[in-house]
Amino acid sequence: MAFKFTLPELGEGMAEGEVASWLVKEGDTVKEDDTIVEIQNDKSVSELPTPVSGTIKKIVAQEGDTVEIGDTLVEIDDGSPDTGDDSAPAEAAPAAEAAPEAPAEAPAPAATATVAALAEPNKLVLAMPSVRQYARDKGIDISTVAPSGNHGQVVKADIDNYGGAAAPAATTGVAPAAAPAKATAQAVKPYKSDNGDAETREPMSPMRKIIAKSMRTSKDISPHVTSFDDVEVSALMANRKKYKTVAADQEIHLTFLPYVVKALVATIKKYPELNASIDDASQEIVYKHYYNIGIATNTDDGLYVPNIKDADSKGMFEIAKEISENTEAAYAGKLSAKAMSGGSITISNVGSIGGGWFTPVINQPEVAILGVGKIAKEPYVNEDGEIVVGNMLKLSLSYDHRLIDGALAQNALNYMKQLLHDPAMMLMEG
Amino acid sequence: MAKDSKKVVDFAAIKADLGGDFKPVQILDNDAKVVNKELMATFSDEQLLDFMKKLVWERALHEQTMNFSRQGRLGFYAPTYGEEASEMGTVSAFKENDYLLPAYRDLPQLIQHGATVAEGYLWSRGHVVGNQFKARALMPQIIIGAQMVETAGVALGLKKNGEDAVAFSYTGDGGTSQGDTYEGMNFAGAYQAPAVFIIQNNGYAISVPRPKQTAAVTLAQKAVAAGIPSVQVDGMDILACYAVAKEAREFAAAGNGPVMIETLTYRFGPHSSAGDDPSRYRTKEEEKPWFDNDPLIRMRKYLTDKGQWSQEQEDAYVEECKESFKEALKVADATEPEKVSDMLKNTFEVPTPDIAKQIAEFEEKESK
Repeated sequence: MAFKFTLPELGEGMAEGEVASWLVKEGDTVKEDDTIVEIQNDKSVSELPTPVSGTIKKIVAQEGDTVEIGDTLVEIDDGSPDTGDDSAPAEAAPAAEAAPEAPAEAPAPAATATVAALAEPNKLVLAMPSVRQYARDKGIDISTVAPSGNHGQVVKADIDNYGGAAAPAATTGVAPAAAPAKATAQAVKPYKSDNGDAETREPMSPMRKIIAKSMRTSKDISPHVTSFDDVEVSALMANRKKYKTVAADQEIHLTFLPYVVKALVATIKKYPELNASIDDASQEIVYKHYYNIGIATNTDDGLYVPNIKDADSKGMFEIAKEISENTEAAYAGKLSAKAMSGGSITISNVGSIGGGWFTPVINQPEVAILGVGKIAKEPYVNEDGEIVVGNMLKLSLSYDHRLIDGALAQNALNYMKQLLHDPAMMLMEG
Repeated sequence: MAKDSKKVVDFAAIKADLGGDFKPVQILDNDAKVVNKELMATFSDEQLLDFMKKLVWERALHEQTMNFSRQGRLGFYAPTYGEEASEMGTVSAFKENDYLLPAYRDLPQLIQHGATVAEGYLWSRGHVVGNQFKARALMPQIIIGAQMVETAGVALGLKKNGEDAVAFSYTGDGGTSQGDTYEGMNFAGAYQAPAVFIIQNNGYAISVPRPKQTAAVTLAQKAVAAGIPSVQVDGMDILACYAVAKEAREFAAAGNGPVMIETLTYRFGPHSSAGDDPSRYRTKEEEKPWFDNDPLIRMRKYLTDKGQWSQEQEDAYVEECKESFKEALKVADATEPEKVSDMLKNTFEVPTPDIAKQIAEFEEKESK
């Protein structure tokens, strides 16, 4: 005896949503119009009220599940007969909802009247009306003609040269089609396997889809080069040890990260190409006169990159404090869009979990990202030519080779190494 | 030697003056203080109570209908949260015989003007029965600003027929950015047709804030170019909205030509039930003063202070209203659903060959 509450259409063009959180649990009693679940989609978070009163019998879609419109979210025992698929309230006429969808099933108007039926009636063909008429007069389906004009336009000569065979991929004549077109041109290849039984499938969360897309896009846009280096940081460690307790008194957790932020600010001040973006539309380099240092933050939901605004005007403690606050906000899912935009350059820190060198992917539209690895005890030849045990910090700088040359990147790394090796110098330069 | 010459025209001074002569009409301010005693004296206690109930009714309609929408029991709905005074105050000033041309945010006025809630719900579902109300009105217009042109035509018709009635129409601030609004006002002005154009300035055209839509300081001044008198009114003050609309109606009905009213109000929630998220285009700091300015607060306070209204009374009335909306949904649900062939039959009185063919195709399918 249960009413099945299904996911309604919550927005134009929204085919699915993710169950953000349940506000009820099985066995709870609910009253009609009580809010029972929060659904997250691309546009917003919606609170859904229950259409019936009763007892929560079974929560079908769990938190984190992606559900499509019409999928059952929950079964509520409202005393109604269990018909198996009673997806609408007992009194509601389901057909009323079906009606708006029906026109989509209507057959397309018969195309027989035209001289040449279009092979792909929905294909966007660029051509002047006179050329279209010319094609019709000659009985040629213009959607199959290879364009040779500007911006992929079909011109009259193309109709004359038409051999009858299907045109090669239209992209050949469309030089300006940039990266996004390239990405869409690639056919989506399904993953196939003979070992399906030993595999499980899960839908990608909206966050994972966004990450996948932005990583892919970044690699498409920027030719990445990564320079690896390491630096001896005993003096830095001593400095941190000295001020850690002072910081703790102010409830500030002083890690190595604020030092790296400071050193990076000084470095991008000296090498402004690292604090820039490329405007592809105007073919201009945009130099930024602000220093917003992004910190890639890993949470259970995914990766966020909040940035420390105007890090050049902030003290070490202030930076440390902001890093902690941003991390908390990221975990709570409360970062604003503003906190994550307008960055100069990003730091990705895997050192805290024992990582070494790696090849970080640039956070677009920035042009470089600094990978920070662990500090390892390794043999090190000091200034006096003696082999000692050094504390070696691993650095990996990925940069957009369109704008940043290898020598520039290495010079920048060298400078940053000086600062990290001798924190007193940061006081002079930072 | 160039002489210092006086400017031929001081455009800067003219620009600075534009729209400066509008001062919003107010009767009851946000602290429930009577700022216009003379006008306040024109309302009887029964009238004040009636206004309070209409505000509560519309708020309840909004809440219950949004719930229906999120439960998947209704189609598109444009929230009216925050605009109760602007809508109920103005519509109450018109007579049954007046012709209403609403937009999609104006279902509450359409219902007050004589349609049933069930008809409103059927309209929301796109059902033809939702257009067959007995109210003297057109169905809510979806095209932004289009009803303003229709209003001019309807008003001219009323004038030609010598009726003692006016046409009145609603659009938002976004609607005034459409050419249709000017065309409608201009035509009505040219023919001195009895039309009242009501602009509900709720601050946003979906996500575009009012100051980004136009350089005009007020929307009321847009009527000036069409030769139409206009006024700004505190859209959170139901009494001022009513008084201004009543005056406008009388002026238009007396053969003086059209009038335009700009109500200053605020959309408390999203643009529609179709999924926009206001927190992405406005700040809490911006919303706060408007929420403090909720049209229900001042009326509730004024009447409670006079001992004519109480929280218990309001709660009971909200329940009563919501029950009636649930009943209305049942009526809507019980209405036989439209078939595709029905929809096609409603397109032309005499079907075109294309439509006739489609009707035959769908009747064939539907009979199976």
